[in-house]
Amino acid sequence: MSASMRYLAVDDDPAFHFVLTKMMTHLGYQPPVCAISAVEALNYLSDPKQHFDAILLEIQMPGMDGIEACQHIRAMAHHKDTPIMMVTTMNGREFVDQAFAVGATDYLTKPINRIELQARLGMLDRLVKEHAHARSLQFAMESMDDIQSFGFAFEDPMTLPKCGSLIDYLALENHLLTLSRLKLHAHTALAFQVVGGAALFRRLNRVEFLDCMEDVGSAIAACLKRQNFLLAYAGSAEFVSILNRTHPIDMLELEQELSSELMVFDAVYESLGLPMLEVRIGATVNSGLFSTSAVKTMLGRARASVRGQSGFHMQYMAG
Amino acid sequence: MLVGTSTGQTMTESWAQAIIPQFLDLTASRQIEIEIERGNLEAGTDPKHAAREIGKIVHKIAGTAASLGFPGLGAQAQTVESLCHQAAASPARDLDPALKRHLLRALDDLNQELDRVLVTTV
Repeated sequence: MSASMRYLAVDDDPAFHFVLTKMMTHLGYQPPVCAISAVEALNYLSDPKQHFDAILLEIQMPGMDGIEACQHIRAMAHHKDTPIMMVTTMNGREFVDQAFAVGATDYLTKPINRIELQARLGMLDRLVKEHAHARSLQFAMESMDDIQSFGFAFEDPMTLPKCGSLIDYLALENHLLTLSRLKLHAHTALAFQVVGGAALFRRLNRVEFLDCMEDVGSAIAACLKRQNFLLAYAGSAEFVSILNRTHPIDMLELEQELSSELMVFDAVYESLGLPMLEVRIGATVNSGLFSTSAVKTMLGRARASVRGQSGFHMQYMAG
Repeated sequence: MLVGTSTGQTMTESWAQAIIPQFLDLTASRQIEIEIERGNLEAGTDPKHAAREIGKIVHKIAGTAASLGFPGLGAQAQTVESLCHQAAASPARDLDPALKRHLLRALDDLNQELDRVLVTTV
């Protein structure tokens, strides 16, 4: 728990503000700054004198709803990676998917209880620290003068600062956890792996490696754009996507499209003396009637499958 | 451990006890607002609008009641909210009679829960 964190809570219900304020102060947090509408929240967030570490956002509000508000917040350069947790009674799949697609970090359904709130705020605390690290990294990528000070391991699921189509791996896990809690199971995980990623990591400096991963992430996102998807960089030169199971994927077509997208980068990589980008696609892993602990298993199986050569011939059921 | 009381309230933490009076004030106002919109729903001039308005009010009750130790009220508010969403999403101009009956029964049950909480909570 971080007593120094400053939260903005956006909800049109004053009673919820009472509850949240009491719960948070009881847990040792500062009382949140409360906004009664999305418009009031956006005014707070666009005020350069105000600083917020994280935002709690209701979906159903009169006027502008929380989904639209989240889009506006993400469009603000200084809040593009501020953690946003939707806190709402809306528990339909369409709300969950929309929220994560427009940039929500987590999704908590009302009524809230103290223990769950404590766990989720703790997660946001950790994310704020990770984002501070990512901002430093972005600064280094722009200035290129302090690259050596940024250490991250090959396995680390880094935020790719310049790749707008990707969400954080943590947000991807939270999306799956939310679907699991709400017993919504019609989704599939699909992993992608950059062939020779470990060698690239050894050969390139950290900034160059992330640039390379951003190229791959953009190419994968371009191939998936015809359907609803969430995509995150998972570390170890691997990406994981969550797709709706009701729209089956033509794996051969996807493989061909991805090759075409990656060919765009061939000339640049050749001129730099780097190997051409090649990406392996894993098997689809369907959600089952799993427990929340099996979410990591689902992602783990998707990633395990991509490490095999003939991934997409197999299908797994998680949980 | 949660222990039930005659009001349907479960034992709440001390911080929650401190804000229950404000919650009850707000909830009393909301009960009146629901009654007004219920009248509009029954009158039938614009039943979908009335259902949407009821949905907004019960949405707020559903969001906080259980956190303050009134899980029965929260659950019933959620039931009404769900029926209001169904009513609002219906493509027909008028409400399906079966859905309307179902919604009115759920509103009766909600009203009983509200009375129980507002009249008997000390």
